[in-house]
Amino acid sequence: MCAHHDEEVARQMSRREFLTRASMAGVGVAALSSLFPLSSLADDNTKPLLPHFSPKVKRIVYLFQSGGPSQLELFDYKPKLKELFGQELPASIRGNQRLTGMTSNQKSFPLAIGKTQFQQHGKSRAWVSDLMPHTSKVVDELCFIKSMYTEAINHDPAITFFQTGSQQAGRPSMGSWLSYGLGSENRNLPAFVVLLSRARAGDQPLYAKLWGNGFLPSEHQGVIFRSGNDPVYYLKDPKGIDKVSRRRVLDHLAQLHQVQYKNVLDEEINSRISQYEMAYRMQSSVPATLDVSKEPESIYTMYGEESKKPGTFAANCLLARRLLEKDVRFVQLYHQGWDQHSGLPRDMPIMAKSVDQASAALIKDLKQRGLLDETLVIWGGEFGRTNYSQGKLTVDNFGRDHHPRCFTIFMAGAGIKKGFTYGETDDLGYNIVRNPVHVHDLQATVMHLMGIDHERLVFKSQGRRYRLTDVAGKVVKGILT
Amino acid sequence: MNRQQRFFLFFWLIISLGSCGDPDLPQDVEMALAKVPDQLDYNLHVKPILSDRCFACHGPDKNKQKGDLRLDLPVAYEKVSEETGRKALVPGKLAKSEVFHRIISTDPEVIMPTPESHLTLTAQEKAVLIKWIQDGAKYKPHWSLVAPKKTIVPVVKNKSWVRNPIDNFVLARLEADSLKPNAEASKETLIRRLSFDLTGLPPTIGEIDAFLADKSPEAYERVVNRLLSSPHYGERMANDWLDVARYADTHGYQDDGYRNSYPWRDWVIAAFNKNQPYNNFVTWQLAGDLLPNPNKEQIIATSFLRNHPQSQEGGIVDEEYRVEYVADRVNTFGKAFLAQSTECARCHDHKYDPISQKNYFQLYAFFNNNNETGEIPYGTEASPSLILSTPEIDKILKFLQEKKAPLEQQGKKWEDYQPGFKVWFAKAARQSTNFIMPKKGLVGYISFDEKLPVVKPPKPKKEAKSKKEGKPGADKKLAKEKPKKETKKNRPTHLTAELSSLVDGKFPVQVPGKFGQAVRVDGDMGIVFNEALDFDRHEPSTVSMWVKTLKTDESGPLFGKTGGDLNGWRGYYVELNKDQTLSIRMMHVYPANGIDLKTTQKLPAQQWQHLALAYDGSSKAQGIKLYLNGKEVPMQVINDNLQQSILFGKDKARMRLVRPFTLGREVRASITNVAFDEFYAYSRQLSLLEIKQLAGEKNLLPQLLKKPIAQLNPAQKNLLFEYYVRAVDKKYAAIQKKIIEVRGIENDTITNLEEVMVYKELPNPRPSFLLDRGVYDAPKERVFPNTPEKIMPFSKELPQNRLGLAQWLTSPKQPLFARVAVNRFWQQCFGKGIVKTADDFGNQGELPTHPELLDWLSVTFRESNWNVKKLMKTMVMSATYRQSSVPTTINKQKDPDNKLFSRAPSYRMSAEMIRDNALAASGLLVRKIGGKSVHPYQPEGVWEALAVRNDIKYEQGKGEDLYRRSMYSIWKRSSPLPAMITFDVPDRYACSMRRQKTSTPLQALVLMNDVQYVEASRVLAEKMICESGNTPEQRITYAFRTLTSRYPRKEELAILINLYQEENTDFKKHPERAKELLQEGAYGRDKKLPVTEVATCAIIANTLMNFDEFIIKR
Repeated sequence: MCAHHDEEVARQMSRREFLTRASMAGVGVAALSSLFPLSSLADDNTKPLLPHFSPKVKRIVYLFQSGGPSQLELFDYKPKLKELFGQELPASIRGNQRLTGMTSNQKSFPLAIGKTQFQQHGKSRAWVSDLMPHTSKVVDELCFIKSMYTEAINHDPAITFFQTGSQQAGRPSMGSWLSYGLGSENRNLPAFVVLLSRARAGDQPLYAKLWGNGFLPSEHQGVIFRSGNDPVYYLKDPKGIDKVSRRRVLDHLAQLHQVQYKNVLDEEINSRISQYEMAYRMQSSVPATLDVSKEPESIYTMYGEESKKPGTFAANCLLARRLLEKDVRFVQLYHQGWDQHSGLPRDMPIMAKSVDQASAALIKDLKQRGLLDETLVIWGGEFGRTNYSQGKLTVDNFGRDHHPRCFTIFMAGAGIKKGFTYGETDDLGYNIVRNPVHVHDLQATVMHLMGIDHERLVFKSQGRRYRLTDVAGKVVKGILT
Repeated sequence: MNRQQRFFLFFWLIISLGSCGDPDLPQDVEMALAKVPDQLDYNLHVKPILSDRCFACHGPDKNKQKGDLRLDLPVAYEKVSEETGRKALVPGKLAKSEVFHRIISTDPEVIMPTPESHLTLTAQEKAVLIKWIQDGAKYKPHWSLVAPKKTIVPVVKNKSWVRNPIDNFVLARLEADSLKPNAEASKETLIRRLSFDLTGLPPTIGEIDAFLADKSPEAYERVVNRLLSSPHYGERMANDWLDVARYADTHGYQDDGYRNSYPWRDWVIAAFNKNQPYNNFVTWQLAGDLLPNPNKEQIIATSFLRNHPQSQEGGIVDEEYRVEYVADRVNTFGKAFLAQSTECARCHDHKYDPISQKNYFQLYAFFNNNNETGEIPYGTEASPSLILSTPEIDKILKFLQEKKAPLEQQGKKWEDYQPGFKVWFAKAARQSTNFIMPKKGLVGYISFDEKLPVVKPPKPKKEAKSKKEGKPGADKKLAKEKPKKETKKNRPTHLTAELSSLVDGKFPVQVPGKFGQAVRVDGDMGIVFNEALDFDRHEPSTVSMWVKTLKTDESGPLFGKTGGDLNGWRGYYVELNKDQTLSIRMMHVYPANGIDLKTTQKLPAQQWQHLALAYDGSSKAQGIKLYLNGKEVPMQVINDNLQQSILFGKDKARMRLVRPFTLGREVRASITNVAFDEFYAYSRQLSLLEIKQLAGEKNLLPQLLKKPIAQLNPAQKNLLFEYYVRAVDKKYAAIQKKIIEVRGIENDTITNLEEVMVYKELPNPRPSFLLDRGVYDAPKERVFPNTPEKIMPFSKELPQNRLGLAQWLTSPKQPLFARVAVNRFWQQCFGKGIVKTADDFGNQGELPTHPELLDWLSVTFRESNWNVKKLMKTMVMSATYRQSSVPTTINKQKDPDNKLFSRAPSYRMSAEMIRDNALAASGLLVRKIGGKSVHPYQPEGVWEALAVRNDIKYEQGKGEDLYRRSMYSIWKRSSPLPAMITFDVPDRYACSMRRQKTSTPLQALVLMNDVQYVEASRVLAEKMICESGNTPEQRITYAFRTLTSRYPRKEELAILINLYQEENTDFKKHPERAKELLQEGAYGRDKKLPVTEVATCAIIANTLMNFDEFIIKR
């Protein structure tokens, strides 16, 4: 075969040939209709009839800010802190709050704030810090929840709680639940994709269990997409194997499988044939989806200079948009670096800069493509940060410990009120005074937007029916349109 | 009864049925009722419905029983509904039974299950419940909680098929359904099946040929015996146990550093190979340390109880995680040995099974006594651990011991110094000066009269590259990031001290002291010393100071050198406790590997107190002496087990958090309102006399010397004599020097040895409490070790500890233990258990397909003295096992899920088997058993993308390490090997009893593109050429046989020859493609062989590695 042979034609030809052969051998085309069909270990779990009601949202991009960004430097404006700078946080406000081992032995809890300035923006007059100039410009698209709270006080349990509904490992993550419940919207890409970036070295790690399938069938695991020429593990053919050879091998393999099927009469073989075809399709569809080389310069300008640098948050935001365009159901982006126990005034601008422009650009870009109407964007971390300093406090240098009692996240897109702020904290930004939103409430709301009743999407494992929201969670009606 | 009477009775029955008898049923239920079996079995038909739909609100959970009704027990007969006056269940009386009315109601206010529960009953299920009530609503005990009895082996028609009693049970069931068992599988299939099930490896072509050639009736058994005695048998059996035991090479949780767990894994392999009786196998793991005079293996086995994840995350609440670890042991115990979802009872009574929350915490009490912490150190093994020596090291240690013992002996013989003392005394008395402050061994003295300098703040770095959580900024320059050996060589001779603080502009201040000025700390600050105080455990030392606590209720760190919880409290430190007693600790890793002492008297507050800590370098509790105002303080020994260095020497710790000696503070905690004065440090153990001098009796020595010897009382004489020996005698000093030297070498040697985490019982059990909602800080009533009485009461004869628990577990009356074990071994051979939910034998679990067989196997297993090899042999020798897996039309139709074992199962092999098959077939496999885990191929950057500290970088192994069996591949919980996870290896965070067996496109990508398989393909290609022949047929046949264990069929051969020829032509046209392909992987290529031929064969080999028969057990 000639090396310049039109590979695409060859591929199409053999595919058609394959399908003919396959159907002769009893492989229904239906077998090809979902990318990751149910496993052979299905337990007693029959697939629920979903969605439960008409969904507002088709797909989600979750810009997870790992480490716990300080709400007090970004969105929760507390002028009182400036006034009381350096004074002790009154014990009456701290109450019986459980502290981490990092500050529980501290003898003093001085209220801290740096030089960060806040302004009101947009028609909604939302307060946003000067560290987020681009986000400030899209506030009228955003719904801030300033009254998020969680139960965990340390990273691992807190992120695990956010992503799986339980502080301990072993439960499926949000993306896995949605993949299980709703399946894939496309034939060539997984339903649940994970992207990773970090703005600083050090800081806090991540763990594969965060996108794990738990007890759900393993095809609902999040698939990591990486920058570079091997975006999905093992996607790339080995050296010396070109498309012609790969196609030829797959065609012969399909023939072998048909012979095998005739002899052993096992339906699994047909499923295997289709898995190989899907793998083959992924080999071209994934790089094509991730190929940003044809994006116009205006897009790079919009997402910022960093978006040209693979692996950055900005580049991942651009990839996320491309994945959403291809109907990937759940894009989970993790951005590491938000754990400012010390050196907060120095690190916050670095961190904010790494996310600000691209976060805003993603929202604008989705909007200009008409995708924001059916996409939900979530932006936030696993907890907030204390209003008092961890370690030494000066205006130029201090740190903040983890704070589970209140923090801010924002959402944008389908089904969510625009230019809206929900919930409120006290003057010192320590406690919630209005409309608290628990992590399970947020999860219930996200499920609701996808057309799922969080109490009804359950999976029985070891005799118990599990759900993302464990035994709690109320849909936050106040933020819905 | 005459005819008329009978007629009346009949008539009355009709009337009563019509009026108050069985009411009309909805049509769908009526229709379903016709299909309900005549003989309903409570366990088989009824309880699965009751349990799943009713027990959540009407089951064993006391706190959740709605309307005070429980339906899991016959008490339901007595329960009267307040609304209707009907009893919940009236046996035989449908209309009188409230349950009936509730389940057929359509009124949302009345219907059960309630609409809010999102649960419903199908018509079929309603019909079953209705018939059950009609038949008398009889309850039966849950099948798995009745001890198994050896059932009579059933008689079957087709006797010739039967090879052992397993077949009687299976065939009897098949015959009842008019089914026939399948034909026997081919010999090639059988030897492949056996080899994988018993060793996890494929048979070699030689082994296949030998089996094919062996026509004798014993041929099959010979293969079985060979495999059972193979050392790879232990590996295969251990591999499954690693899932159950949640084995991993890292700690899990956030920082997820390495742990040294392989010694336990290797013990498991050896235990299976030795065919250790299963009851002992389990007993050792649960309680090996409690056996009489436990040996090394028995203690290593307890590492089973430490395999759970442990957290290194700075700032966690220690007790929260310690509770989590204990809970994990309970959960694992429940699942692995009892197949009960025990964990459900942590927060509330179990909703389905008879395990109350109290039962849960009674089990918890067995596992709550490990001498451990919740936050484990970075870089070193968590406490407690067992130090593992080697024969060579043992020799060295013995040699050192032999050198040390006589020296120590000599050092103790103080009468030898009497003559010298007399000479010295005579001379010293004459020269007595008026003031002699101890100078010998003085490391340094700080008076605090001068103002101390402030610790310089660290230079700002561009990026917070080395930022450590919890590391206060001001101390950064003193915190050594890079491994640096702490030795005397880099120890400056002068003692210096600096002020450090966490609070801006607030430093320790000068206050009036005992003598001149003192320095006062006030929380979040401390006085930091230089490396001059970095003593190790073999080095005698003394520190002395005046201390004044200005308030009566202060507590916190007084002084010491430790990195705190982040490094396992390595170092030595003195802490003022809340009750004003003092704790003195000298630690390698807290709490088990160290010395832990506590004073019985309190430190008086609000006045200057002299404190001196003197240490003799012996690593023993009695070698540490604390003096208060010149008097030795009595101390309670909490632990006396310091075995390794208290510094980070050249030992194996990978991450160090070295902190300097500090007054008033450690890493996280500090003390308020304490003043320090006159700090002295010595590199030797001071005598009491010297300490008294430091404590204020400045002139004690000259005063005593002035007196004639006859006027000295014995105590005074002793003071002088002790002073003489410790401070003056040259011979004593010389011996001490030698002892320190030998102990130093010994310390280095032992500290560098490997360790493995084990379970070590606290001398006094930690009190256990029922924890409200299972939360660590919500203790309620105190509980004591006990077992769930509904499973089996805990005999009073048994010790109330883990050993007693193991005896309870393995006792003959135990209903679950043997069944659970047998079922799991059955699952290993047949793909699924006789009880499919191998991890749940409770009310919500599946029922056994062959209960009598399960019981027969269980009792036989126990009676065989828990002989695992014998059990495995019985299973694989059965005709049931030897069946072909190809379904016949009839059995596929009548037994679609193969619940009756009407054929052999076929399913995807494990990740390990698939990879090992490729390695074995290509000849790359290294068959070494055990050892440290290895780092095989994985895509670049997998770890690096997630981890930020602690073993961040994945350093791919070299040579042999790339070709070890997959069970030896490093298992990092937070970032497991992608190729293995893709094939459903569980993440090993928790006990797992069965694996998923999925089929996904990602698996296809691994087998086609993972360098491991590509390399194996090209290496196998060379074998295809060298070991078979020159024709494509020969080469293909060779590859086919070595990869799938069988000859190719004609059609298959034709397809592959076609592929061979097409690829060969292509490679000849594009030899550069062939060259590239053959460069994949680290293994050297045989350059004598023609490139295009090898490449062509590699394509064939890789195609076959993607072929059904390679991946699927048939």
